[in-house]
Amino acid sequence: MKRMLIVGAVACLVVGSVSTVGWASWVGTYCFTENASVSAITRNTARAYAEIAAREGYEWGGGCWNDNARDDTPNAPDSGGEGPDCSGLVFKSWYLKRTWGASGFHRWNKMQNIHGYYASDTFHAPTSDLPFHKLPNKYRSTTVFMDAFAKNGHVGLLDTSAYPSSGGDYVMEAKGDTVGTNIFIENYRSDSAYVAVRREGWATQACTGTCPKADVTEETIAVP
Amino acid sequence: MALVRRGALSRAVTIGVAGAMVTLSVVGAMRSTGASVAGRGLRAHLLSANRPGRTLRLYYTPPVLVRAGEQVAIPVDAVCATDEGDQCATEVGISARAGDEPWHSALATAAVNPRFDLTDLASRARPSGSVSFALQATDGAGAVIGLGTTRKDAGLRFYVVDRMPMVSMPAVPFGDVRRGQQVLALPWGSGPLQAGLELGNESDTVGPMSFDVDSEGRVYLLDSLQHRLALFDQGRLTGQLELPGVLFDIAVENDGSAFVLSRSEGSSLEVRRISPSGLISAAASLGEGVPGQIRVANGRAFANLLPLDAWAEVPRPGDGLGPAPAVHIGRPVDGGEEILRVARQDSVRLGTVSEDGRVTGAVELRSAANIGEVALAESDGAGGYWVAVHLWQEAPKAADQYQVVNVRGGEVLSSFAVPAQQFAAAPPQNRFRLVGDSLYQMVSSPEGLQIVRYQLGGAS
Repeated sequence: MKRMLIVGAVACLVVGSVSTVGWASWVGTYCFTENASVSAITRNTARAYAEIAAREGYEWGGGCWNDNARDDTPNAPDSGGEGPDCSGLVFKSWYLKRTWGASGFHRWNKMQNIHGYYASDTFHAPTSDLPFHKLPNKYRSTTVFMDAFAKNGHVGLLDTSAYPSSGGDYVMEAKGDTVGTNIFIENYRSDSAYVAVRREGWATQACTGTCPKADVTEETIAVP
Repeated sequence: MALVRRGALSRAVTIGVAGAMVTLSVVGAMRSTGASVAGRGLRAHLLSANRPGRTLRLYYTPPVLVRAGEQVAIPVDAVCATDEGDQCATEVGISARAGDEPWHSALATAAVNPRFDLTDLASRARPSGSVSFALQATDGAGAVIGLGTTRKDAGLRFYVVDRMPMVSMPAVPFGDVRRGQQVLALPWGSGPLQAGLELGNESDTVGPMSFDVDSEGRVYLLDSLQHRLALFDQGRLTGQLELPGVLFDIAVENDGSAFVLSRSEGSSLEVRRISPSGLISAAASLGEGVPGQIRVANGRAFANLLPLDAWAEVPRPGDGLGPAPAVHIGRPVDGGEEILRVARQDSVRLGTVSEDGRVTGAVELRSAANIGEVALAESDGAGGYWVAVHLWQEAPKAADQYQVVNVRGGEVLSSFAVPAQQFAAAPPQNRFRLVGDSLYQMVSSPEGLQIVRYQLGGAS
């Protein structure tokens, strides 16, 4: 571009965006308590749950979100606004219980504002008393959708075992306030800061053919 | 042993009835809220007002480029969720054909993750050299979504080649990296001479999402956190423009214009053209999808649509993509060709598609280290390619870096490694640019952002 207009005021967004008083009570206004213990769920069930968070906002310590495909409290990541943070999304999508180390599954309504006890650091380095564990490696032959990639500070869910031609993965994550919660192409698999983490106790899906992985059903179909 | 399943649809299509695949969404995801439809041009195929809203998403792993005689399978993954976040069942189907043969179809039953085996079709791909296919998923309530169609220019495809030499990337120890020459350095902060940063706090650390460089070495920085496009000439800010939406990628044209890919507040992806004088066009809509790349070729802008995993020409300002636009599997480049690149589990495959649809220059690069993504794949102007491949290891110590390789005629001409230095994450496909004989990389540290340059041609 040979000449560019210089715009006098440039929006600046760094750490600690200013919250707006009107948004500070979004959680208090819209969220409610609804949850129940459930039997073990499948990975597909967890993914369907996480799917609703796509296109919603991000909120540190959250959270609570609707399904209107927009961030209802933009530029306010730390004031009781709409959306999960990264570890809160994993907590709710994995149907974890709100007791440290508890096994079993618990469904939290998307509109219940809850984060759970686990931060990204915990997912990155889980101890043996937790209902999730670090995988031995990040090879594609090891990971399965709804496993997580975690580092100190951030965690995201592998949305599918399929991957784009460029490499990388489709990751469902609460990425940040500016970009919100959504599915992005990420290279966490090859980033040395990240490890792969698996939730324990998934239910096994119905399998009528070859089942190479215990909780996922795959089927090869020849096209003549 | 492959498990063969065929439904009635399969038999009907083998008679030669094309068009079993309806015209469907090209971006592979849609959300319906009762009568209100988020997708474009798909009302005929979506739920009625009496049914609950659904989200339907379709993923697949594209083969892109295969060697004659090898097995070819396409894993497909359909996601179906109600508005309450409950799973709904789906059926996944494929239509495919070799060359101009009749279409063949197959269906997968619900609750499975199918892999469609197209080895037989691939064996019949010659002399066309390609297999066309389209994917479709339906939920139990009648919603339909697809990737590609049976229309010739809107279908997905993969190419079959007789010759694809295998070449090993020279091993470069992790940490043995070349440092580029700094072209631009910006500290983190807010202001014209800073780069916007959103520090991760149970979130990713996000900075500028992309950049491009023109033929005169000027850097166009997409400073997403400051909602601007900033132009730097030899490190000096010479202009900036405020842009709407979440900014994801930029491509600069030879005439000084630029195309910016962004996401609007309503989560639709769109592209704006910025003229050399700084005028911002109306947005061209790409619909919903996963943010990919934008590039220019032959004076036109092309967007990589995901999860369709194909390139489509960006519509005119104010227009939207039709439900089944013409797509290219390879990235269009100047001269009318397309660059194919696919990252496989243990190799990278490259090829060039000519205007008549034939593949030349196919090559497979292997590495002793684990292969991540192909961060850059460009023609070297002499029948070969420059690539930047993300390599990684977990033992004896977790490490990763990019290896830059020039491969031509089945031979590695040069190779060196550069660091994967990303304090602030940029999308994996936006970290490198090749301009002339210079490779540019966007890196970041706790101190700020840098654009560095590597002079090509003399690498060891």
